[in-house]
Amino acid sequence: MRGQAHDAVRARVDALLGDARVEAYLDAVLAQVRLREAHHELRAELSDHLGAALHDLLDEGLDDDGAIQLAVARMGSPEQTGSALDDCHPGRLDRWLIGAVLLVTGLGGLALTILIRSGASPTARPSKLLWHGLATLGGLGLALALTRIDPRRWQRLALWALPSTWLLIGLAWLLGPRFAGRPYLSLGPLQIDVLAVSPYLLIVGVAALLVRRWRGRFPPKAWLRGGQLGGLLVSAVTALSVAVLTLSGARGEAALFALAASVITALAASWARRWLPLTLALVCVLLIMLPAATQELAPRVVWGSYAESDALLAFLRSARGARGGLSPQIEGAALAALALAAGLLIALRCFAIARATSLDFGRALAAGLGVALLATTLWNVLASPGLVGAGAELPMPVHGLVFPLFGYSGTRMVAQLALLGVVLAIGRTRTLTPWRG
Amino acid sequence: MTTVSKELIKGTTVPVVLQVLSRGRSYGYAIIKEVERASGGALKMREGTLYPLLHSLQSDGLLEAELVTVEGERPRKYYALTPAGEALLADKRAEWRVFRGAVDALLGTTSKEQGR
Repeated sequence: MRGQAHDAVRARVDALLGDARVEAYLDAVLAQVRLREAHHELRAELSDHLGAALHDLLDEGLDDDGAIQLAVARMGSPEQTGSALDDCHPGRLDRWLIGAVLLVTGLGGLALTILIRSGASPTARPSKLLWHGLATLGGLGLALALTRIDPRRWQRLALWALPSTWLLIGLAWLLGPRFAGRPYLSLGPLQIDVLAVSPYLLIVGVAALLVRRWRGRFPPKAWLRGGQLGGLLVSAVTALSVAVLTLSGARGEAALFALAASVITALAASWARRWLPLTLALVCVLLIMLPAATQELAPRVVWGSYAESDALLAFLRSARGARGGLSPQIEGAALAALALAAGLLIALRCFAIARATSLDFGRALAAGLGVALLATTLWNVLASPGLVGAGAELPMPVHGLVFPLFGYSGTRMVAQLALLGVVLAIGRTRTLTPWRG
Repeated sequence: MTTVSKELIKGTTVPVVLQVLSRGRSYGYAIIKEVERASGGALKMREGTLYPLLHSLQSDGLLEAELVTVEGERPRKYYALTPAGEALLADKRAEWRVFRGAVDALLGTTSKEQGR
């Protein structure tokens, strides 16, 4: 009897929640909140509150009309509540990150232009500048579009990034043309450098895999406590991806991905506060990474082998060889330092967004991209003869580790900009609550 | 019963909410009811104050939230303390003890002086 009465009240409450006065109150609150992605959770939360209040008021003996009036009145001014909630969900894009991205891409275009005009590189042709410009503009447009998409929608889709990347690499090897030994995919006039985009796609996939709930539990916790499937799967997927990249000749990309994967695996383990497994995870992934990196550890003249498409180096070389101007060396070094500072700022803003967001997937993805960008930026500094001395022999893998958003590499440029668009969206929606069923 | 002024309540809302959540995860309506019950009706938290406060604490990383959907029920947003929230609660408790001691001492002295 009591259960039936409870069900009857609940049915009445559900019907009353559709009342125009309740809807008007909720609409008035949400009209103040500019971050549209927050509307769903705010409506659900306030509806639940009104439902619980209506339930109690009906239990106290009020009629439907009186219960609605009192419940809505107790909620207070919808404009004031909505305005206060709007302050909690600013939904702004990270201006420092946007500024740094525009600065580096602009400097990259400038560097390539100077390189072409100086004639220092026989392969630097005006058509390269056209494709570089198109890739930059296309990537910026894609990034802008991606900032408007709720990153929580990406999480399930992101898991497909892993098999999709392996499939793309396989297709490129089987069907695509080769340039400098690397497989490409042809789409009309576009030649897509699949290996260049791979580490970024794989980072997305591993981030999604790390935060996937296994049997209702956060995977690192489930894994770290009982040696369950989740963690083993993450390690296996990382190892497989590194192997695929290494066998495809993309050793630089393999090392880059392994480094990013090891850091986000360690971070996920630290969120779960399991320090022994954290150390083991680091050791395991570093062991996976080292063979990929050491295959290119033979001493070599980086100046000669680092492609001139790496615009940071090319720019320095061009500045040295240029005639006229006040002081080419100083100008070149100053602009390279500016690009370097902006590159570091981009990586640091990725870490700041990773720290601020409440979305586990967003945190892992932003941290992974931050690691990849920081590593390639620092790698370029260390491997750059323009900075450490001309003709220096540096035992470092350099293929595929072009200065982020600067070097001539259309596919990589689009991939990095697209992922930065997702990171900007993660920062914009950092106050949202994760979706769980 | 003596009612507590809005100004006094305003300064204590954060530790009060954190204290309620220190006993386990909860949701908005239940937090309001618990504050009222535990204070014997002396403290009444307004909905228009509570929800912005909860969202603000969440975005500051002091609370973590989860929107739970159970079949046949309305979606419900639960809040729980994070380690940072637990640390802030400990600080607020210590701060409150100092404040209460100071005000007690001051008001007590004032009462004696008024009684002379």
